Amino acid sequence: MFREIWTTKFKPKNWDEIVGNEKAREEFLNWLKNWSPERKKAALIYGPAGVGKSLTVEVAAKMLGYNLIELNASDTRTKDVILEKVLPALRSRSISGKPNLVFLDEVDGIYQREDVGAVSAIKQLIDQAASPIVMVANDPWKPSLREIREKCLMIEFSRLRKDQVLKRLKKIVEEEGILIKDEALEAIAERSQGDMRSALTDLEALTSESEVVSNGTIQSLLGNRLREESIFEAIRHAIYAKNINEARIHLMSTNMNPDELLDWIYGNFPNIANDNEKAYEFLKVIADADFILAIVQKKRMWLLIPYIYDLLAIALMESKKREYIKLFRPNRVSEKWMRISKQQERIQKIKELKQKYHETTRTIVFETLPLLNFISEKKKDRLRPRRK
Amino acid sequence: MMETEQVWTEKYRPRRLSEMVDREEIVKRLETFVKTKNMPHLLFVGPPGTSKTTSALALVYDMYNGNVSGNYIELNASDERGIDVIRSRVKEFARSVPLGEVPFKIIILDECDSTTEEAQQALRRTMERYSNTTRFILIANELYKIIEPIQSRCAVFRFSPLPDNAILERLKEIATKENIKYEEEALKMIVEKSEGDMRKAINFAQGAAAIEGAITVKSVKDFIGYAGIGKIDQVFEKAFHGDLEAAINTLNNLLYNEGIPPREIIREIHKNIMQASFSSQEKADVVSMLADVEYRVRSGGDPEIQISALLAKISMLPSEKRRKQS
Repeated sequence: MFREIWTTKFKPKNWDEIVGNEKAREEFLNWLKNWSPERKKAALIYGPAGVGKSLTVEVAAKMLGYNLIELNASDTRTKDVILEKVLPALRSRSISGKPNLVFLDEVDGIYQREDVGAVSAIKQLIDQAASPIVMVANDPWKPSLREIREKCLMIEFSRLRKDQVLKRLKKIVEEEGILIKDEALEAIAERSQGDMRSALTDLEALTSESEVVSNGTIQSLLGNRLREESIFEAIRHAIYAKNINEARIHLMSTNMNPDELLDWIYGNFPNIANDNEKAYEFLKVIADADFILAIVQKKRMWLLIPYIYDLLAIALMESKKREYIKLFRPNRVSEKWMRISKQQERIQKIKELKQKYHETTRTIVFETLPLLNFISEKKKDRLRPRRK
Repeated sequence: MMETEQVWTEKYRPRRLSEMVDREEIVKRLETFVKTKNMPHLLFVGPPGTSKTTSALALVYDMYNGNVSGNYIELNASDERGIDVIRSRVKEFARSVPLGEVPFKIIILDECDSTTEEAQQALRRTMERYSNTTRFILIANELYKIIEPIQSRCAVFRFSPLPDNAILERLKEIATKENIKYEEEALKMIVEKSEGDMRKAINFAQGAAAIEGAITVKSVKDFIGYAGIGKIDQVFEKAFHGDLEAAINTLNNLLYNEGIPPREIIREIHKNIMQASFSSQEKADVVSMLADVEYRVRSGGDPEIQISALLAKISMLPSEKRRKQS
């Protein structure tokens, strides 16, 4: 069954529904309304995650009747793509007759070497533009963006206040008829640190877990969320670090146990490594780190821990991909405990069968279990009424 | 629910030495032990499905004249908790006096060849210490994996694959008892596919019979296609054809859903590597990495991560080959 995630489901559809940053939003709206080639042709909206930056652009475009041409970090933003896809559109009106608004999301995800010439292409784009261009970034102060910054109206969005987040959460909870204690909502709002998206995600996660939300679950779930952001950030920073030492410092800054960190990095390998050769180089180093970790744990040789970080840093730095790298919470992390308990169950069952049938593990796993499964499958088939 | 099904290999396992199929030489010697109420430590060696465990159990049964409980235990040498647990269980077991006329108890220790040399040394001392009250029947697939000092303390019995006609007769006997129809051709096919492994043959027959209630050539083929270790072959195949992500997904399924022990997966990948069309140099590279992976997993490394790295290596080899050719 298809179910919308809450950040989509409860996404504001009009201007007044958007929470917070009123002054900044007003500034953007004025710039867009009064846009002219003589003034700043581009705007750069920046600020932390989940405060409504992209949302503001989308809603404003709809409200003022713009045709939104969007290019975000997941597209490959090489010079050619930008110039070929965006430039023609900028020079003309859209087919629908609406004026165009070019929207470049996550511009701080552009990395000079990877997105070849992207920055200079954007500059060119701004210079030649006959329509407004708006960019969004978390961190606009990257050296690579300097030339772009100079051509932009800079608009800062700040973190939402706790009461703003709380108000929104309460409204949703009311609409959905969810039973949840006020303290729980407070805790979510507090933990979100002004990030509405994470607050909604937390609320969704908590309420889908069970009907009654206890403080314990909040602590454990929300604890994870906050860290999750910083893990992604740290991994990404490590990937693009200038040298191994810098990469290593980023990894250590997560304050994570090396085994957890290893799970996160390993689990993201398909996103990090391009092809099989890169994957091999990457996984080989990760496997080395894992082996050292095993020795650390088994022989309690804590002295070896630094080498694990070294290897993880090397693996990340050496496997750079061209585009901006999206990271995910790996299954390995989410399913870890489930897998462990399932495995325990399996081992227990194999043990029982071993005793019952006087067989070795190998025989149970490869012969007895498949046979038993097969027989019970066939039995079900036979019990099912046949239709002709 | 699954367990309510009676497995034929267990249901038709011979209880006494006199019921054993084939194996006349071995049975004759074992019966002497029963007659004299004495025996040395024994070491049963041979491939799977050649009556090793059955012989051991039947010997125990006859030795105690059916009064087996409390007089023997079955242990598995490869059980994850290791030799220390075995030692303490042996110690505890050996402490009490056997019931009946026989002055010793019997310990059946399976999968002895899958333990380390260290563990075997410890086992040897345990065997010596308790030999006045207990006798061991050690079971292994391969003799060379058993250390000399243990071999020299045991009477070695070699079990060879069963002859085709013995398996065929046994299958017919079971089918008749189960009241299941069979095609002669189908049984011959089972015999051929099981390669002297009685257990495998009986399992094939039971699986095939589950499909239509009869053992036919078609049902045999269906079952053989379903069972077996084809799933691990897929892990290798996918990596070999360059689809690393699919290979790792399949690996995860085997590890986490099917619960297949990592060691078995490594073992099957090894077989695949040896048969694959790699150059000798490549094969050597992959095998030495595989050896490393096995060592690491046994030392506590994460099976998924370690095997994934191996699969990545396999996945890039064929492309390297292609590049060299072009």
